Amino acid sequence: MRERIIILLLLALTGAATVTRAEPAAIFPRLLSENAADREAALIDLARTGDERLDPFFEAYRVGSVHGWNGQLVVAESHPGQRLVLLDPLTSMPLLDAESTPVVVAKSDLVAIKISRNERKTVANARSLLRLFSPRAESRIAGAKKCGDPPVLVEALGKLEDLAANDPDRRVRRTARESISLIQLDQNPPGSHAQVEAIIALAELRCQRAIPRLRELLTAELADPEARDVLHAVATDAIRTIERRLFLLDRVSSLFQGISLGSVLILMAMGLAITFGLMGVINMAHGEMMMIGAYTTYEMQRLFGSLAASGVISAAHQDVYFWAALPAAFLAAALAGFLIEWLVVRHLYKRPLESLLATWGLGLILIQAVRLRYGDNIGVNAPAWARGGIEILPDLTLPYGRLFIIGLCVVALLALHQLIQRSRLGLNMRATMQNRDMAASMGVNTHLVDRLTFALGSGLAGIAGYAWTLIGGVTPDMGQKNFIIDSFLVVVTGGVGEMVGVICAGLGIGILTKLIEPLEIGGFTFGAIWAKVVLLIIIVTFIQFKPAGLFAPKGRAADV
Amino acid sequence: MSNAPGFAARLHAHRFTLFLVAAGLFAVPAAYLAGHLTIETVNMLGRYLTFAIVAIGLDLIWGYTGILSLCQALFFSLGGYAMGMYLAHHGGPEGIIDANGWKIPACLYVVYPYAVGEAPGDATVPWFWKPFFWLPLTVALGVLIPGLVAYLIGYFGFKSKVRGVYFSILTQAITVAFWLVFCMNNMKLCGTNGLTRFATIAGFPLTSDHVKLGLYLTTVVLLIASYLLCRWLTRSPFGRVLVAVRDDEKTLRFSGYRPYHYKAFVFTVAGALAGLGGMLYAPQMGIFTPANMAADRSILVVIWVAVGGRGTLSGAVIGALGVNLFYSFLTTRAPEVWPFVQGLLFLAVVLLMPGGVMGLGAQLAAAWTSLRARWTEPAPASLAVPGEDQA
Repeated sequence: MRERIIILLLLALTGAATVTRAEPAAIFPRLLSENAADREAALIDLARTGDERLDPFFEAYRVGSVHGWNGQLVVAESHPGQRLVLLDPLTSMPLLDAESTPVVVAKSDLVAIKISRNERKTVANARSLLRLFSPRAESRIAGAKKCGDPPVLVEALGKLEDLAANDPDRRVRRTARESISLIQLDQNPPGSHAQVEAIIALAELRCQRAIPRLRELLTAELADPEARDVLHAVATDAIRTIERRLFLLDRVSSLFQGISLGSVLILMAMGLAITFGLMGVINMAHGEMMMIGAYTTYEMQRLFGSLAASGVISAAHQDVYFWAALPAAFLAAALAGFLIEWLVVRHLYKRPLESLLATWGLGLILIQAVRLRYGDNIGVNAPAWARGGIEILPDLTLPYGRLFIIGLCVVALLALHQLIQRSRLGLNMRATMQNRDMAASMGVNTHLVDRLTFALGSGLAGIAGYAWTLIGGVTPDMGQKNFIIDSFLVVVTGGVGEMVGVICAGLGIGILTKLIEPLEIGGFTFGAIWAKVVLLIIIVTFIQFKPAGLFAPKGRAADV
Repeated sequence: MSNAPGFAARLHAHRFTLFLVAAGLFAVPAAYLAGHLTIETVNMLGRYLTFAIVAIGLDLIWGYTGILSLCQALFFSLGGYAMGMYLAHHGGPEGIIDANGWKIPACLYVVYPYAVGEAPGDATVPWFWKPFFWLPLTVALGVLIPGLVAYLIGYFGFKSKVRGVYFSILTQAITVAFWLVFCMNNMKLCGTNGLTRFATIAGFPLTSDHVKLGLYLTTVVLLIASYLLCRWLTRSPFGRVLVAVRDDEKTLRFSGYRPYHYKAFVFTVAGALAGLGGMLYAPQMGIFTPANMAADRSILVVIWVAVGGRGTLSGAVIGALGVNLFYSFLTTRAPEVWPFVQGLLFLAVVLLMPGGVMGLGAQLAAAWTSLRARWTEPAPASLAVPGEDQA
């Protein structure tokens, strides 16, 4: 077996470059061989042809629907009446007889290929190998990765070297290089020169996948103590190098996650801070405004899905829903806010505690209404583009979804700033916030200002909910459970009525949460829950020193 | 109060106490013994009366002192966990002894990787379970721990002048943090399953009807005691300071008082009372889970007091009983409606009847007066908004 593979390997190394690729059809008859080893060799050769159409064939082979029929290789598919319809192994089209009707046979007409357990593994290997030939870079990366993961695929070495040298995609070249070194690490005897070289190459590549296998090597017993010492020294050094890099990458990606979480918090807290600053009202239903934004996004997705299903728009344009959902989420939440202000909140000016209770009750009603309508959990599918990410460094990918959220938050804040500083409504808002009675006597319709401000704050929460669908789950109580308290803590920490305070506190809380979560002290990992507890302790301590928040209003307005 | 109140006047002043004694200690047990009430109903009443104890505590800080605490459920649960641990120690299957000679409570097996009754191996009873093996110590700790936690929250919160909604939000955040921690399996507090497999209290089986009646009677007695304690507190000079904190804290501070001492003290009392409620609740419920300290439970306490009428201790008791009886009536028929009803209760009580049930009489009288005034005076100067000037 081993010799055969090495021979094949040599053949592949010498042959791949010079001989033109074989046609799969020429190899198929070899699968009819009685000898399992021959069949396995044929499978690998098939994979080497790089024909993409072979992937479904391999699956059919694995599940045992490939048969011999009149000395021909066919895929048999079940057909009504205990009979089988025959398909071409490569094209998966039905075989046709002279009258151009599909060939249907009884099971007894077919020669089954008995697949050994070993062969099943070979099929899996062949599929990984096949992926190396894929025109899609993602597929080649996945295939290259698979080849280097244990049990390694030695047969792939030739193609991997080709990829490492010639592939147009940087990531493919890197993955191929990693896998070559991993295969060499696996195949060469422990302590050998070639293995040590492979370890050094892996350390230079900062290959994350190598760590478990390097750890294994540390426990290996070698006859030669000198070779063992060298191996240990090199492996330990390599592990340290790779781990240092991983640690750094982890921190960077935590920071990034923290900023995107902070962005959602800022959008949420901004609305709360404005309404509290303006009206002295606490809106506990603010989380539900977020929920409304998220469910509006879901409804837009369904709407565009059904439009695509009925052919009004093409399926390729279905992702447009995401852009349409942004104004929809804002408007839906803003409208809800407008109604809440009109029906409930306007009766509760300057009575924050009562407003807290009333809006909590309102939140309960909204949550239960949504729960009865939609059930407990719905799936919002992020549009295709948001599922990818930019790989700024190997092993460090910034997802587009989170980048989008950060961008959205920046844009929303800039727009809000412009609105407050430049527009007529903004002027009236600031006037009302500074001195309600004076503003009213100067002709500002303070009631209308209140209502519009409340709607604006709610709309921002709607945008936050819209953004959250990209990175988190959507449930009826998402706002109440995960966001309302956190966003209040942002307001408490940041101070009321200052945009800068909310931004600093939101980012701070978001980043701290994500930095504390993976923290490990003496074998104890904090995790999400302890991170929350630690953060709360930090906030409570902070309030001891700055009771009115980071950017407290000064002067007469200070003691409201 | 006059200097020498007559007997009848004193009876009248204590009419609510008398009502509690008559209804709670005599009427309900009599109805049960006569067969008009099942033991399940008595047990349910007992549980709701423990809520009333919590509500009295909240009324003390919210109704009288003006501090809206959203962490009463936390104190309730701390008491409940204390008693729950005692009950778990003396509950479910016998004979699982750890390396140190302690019987491992059956519910702890949820968080240990063994089946109930399997060889414990390195599984031992955690140190913080041990004090709760003895009933007197448990009872003491069940009041002291919530009291201490309340004091710490109050001291640090009030010292740095965290006020109003800020304090409410802070207490809610603290409750959520505690809740998350209590839900964790590796805290060895039985995770989300909670404390289960209770069997005996002080040697008596919890399933027995007599024990259930006894627990009910204990609850009533302690409720009356709590009521009298808070009544005495609110009518003393101390109580006047509390009301001053509520109505004008700044003036109080400028008059030489240090309000945070008073606030922290009264917050501690409320916390301890909630702990007492929790301790009485656990044996009557037969299980104690972290769901009891979820954020919405604390707000539920607020709604009991609000419905009953904040600022009146009897209102707190009536509210707690009334809302919960209504809840149990509704959930047996249409459970999915309850959140709507609860939400509407919040809205209605805040917008329409700020005085609650106890303030309803005054509110109706005021409405009647203003209506009559409008009748006689054709052009009213302003519309009387009910309860607008209610503190």
